[in-house]
Amino acid sequence: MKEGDALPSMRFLAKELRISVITTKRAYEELERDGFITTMTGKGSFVSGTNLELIREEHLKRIEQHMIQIKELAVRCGLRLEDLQEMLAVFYTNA
Amino acid sequence: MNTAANALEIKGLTKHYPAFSLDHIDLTLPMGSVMGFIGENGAGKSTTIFSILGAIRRDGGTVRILGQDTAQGIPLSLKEQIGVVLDECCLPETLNLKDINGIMKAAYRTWNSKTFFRHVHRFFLDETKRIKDYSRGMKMKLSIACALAHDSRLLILDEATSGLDPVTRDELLDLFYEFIQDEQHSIFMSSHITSDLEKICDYVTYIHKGKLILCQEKDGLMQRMGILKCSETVFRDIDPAAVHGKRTTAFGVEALVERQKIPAGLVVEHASLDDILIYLVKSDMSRVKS
Repeated sequence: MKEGDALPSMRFLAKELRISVITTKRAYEELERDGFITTMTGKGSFVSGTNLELIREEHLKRIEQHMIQIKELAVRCGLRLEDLQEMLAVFYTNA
Repeated sequence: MNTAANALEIKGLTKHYPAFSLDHIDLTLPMGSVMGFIGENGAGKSTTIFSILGAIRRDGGTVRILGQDTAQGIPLSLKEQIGVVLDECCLPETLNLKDINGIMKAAYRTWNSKTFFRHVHRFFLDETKRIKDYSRGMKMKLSIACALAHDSRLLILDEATSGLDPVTRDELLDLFYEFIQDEQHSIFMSSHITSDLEKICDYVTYIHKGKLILCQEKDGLMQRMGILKCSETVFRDIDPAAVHGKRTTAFGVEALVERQKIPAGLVVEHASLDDILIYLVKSDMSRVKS
């Protein structure tokens, strides 16, 4: 979906997916909390634009920080880069 | 437009019979929500519903429907906004659809014949047949069409889908979802068909021997609870506060547990609404703490 696109209403989504309205409401609340969408009472929910870029940068920063930690731990157990790459590949295939 | 926050507010509802009592039932259905009402046969579901509707006299407690207190009975204007579907179609069997439309039009100020026939055609109900020649499923669809053809804001269903085939129940579920597209519409439904309740309900309430044993958000409940199957030895080390019901078999223990309180490494399976009822009732627990 693109920035500004309207999301289906919570009730319509619940109906189509055969789930409860509370579930869709909660899902939309989480998306809004994470900045992916904005909800306006009476109008509906819409995809946020610029926030997506900010969030992506946030995530990249966190990934880098994790990577630094992983490298330090790896060095302590004598793991090489190739070992780490192999381990990561396992998680990608099992995801 | 109704600005009440709750479609249904019940406090301390009590009704005494010689062999059975409804004991201080408290429950709240927020506007725009769907609540499933679950319990064994004879647990008090129909008694509760009839007490809400004023069809039987209460011995205690208060009932507010769509924000209005009903201690003096339900005013006609409020009756227009309540759609009731019971497990038996109560319409006279010698009538046909046109007759029913005529009677309902006279009974309800907000009756909409167009809406009635729209639902009737959608269900392929035969206009030439008399009610007595309808199958059980068709009678149910007709009852529901009636409940939807006036200005219903609260749908109250008492085992309305029991005995219906899965295809019909699927169609009816569609209808209920359509009904709640309007956030001023709410549904209170008692049912044994917990697979339907697992889909549409926002809240579930369990009743057992006239007492409320649980009233919670359905999603939270089903995520929080699970079934643990293990040996007696392993079970002895489980935190008793985590256990809400237990069954001992020849090969070990099966227990309804709170997932979070179970040590990692033990497998906790999914608990369905049926499972939850069975374990709670078999252990005769009075309350599940949230």
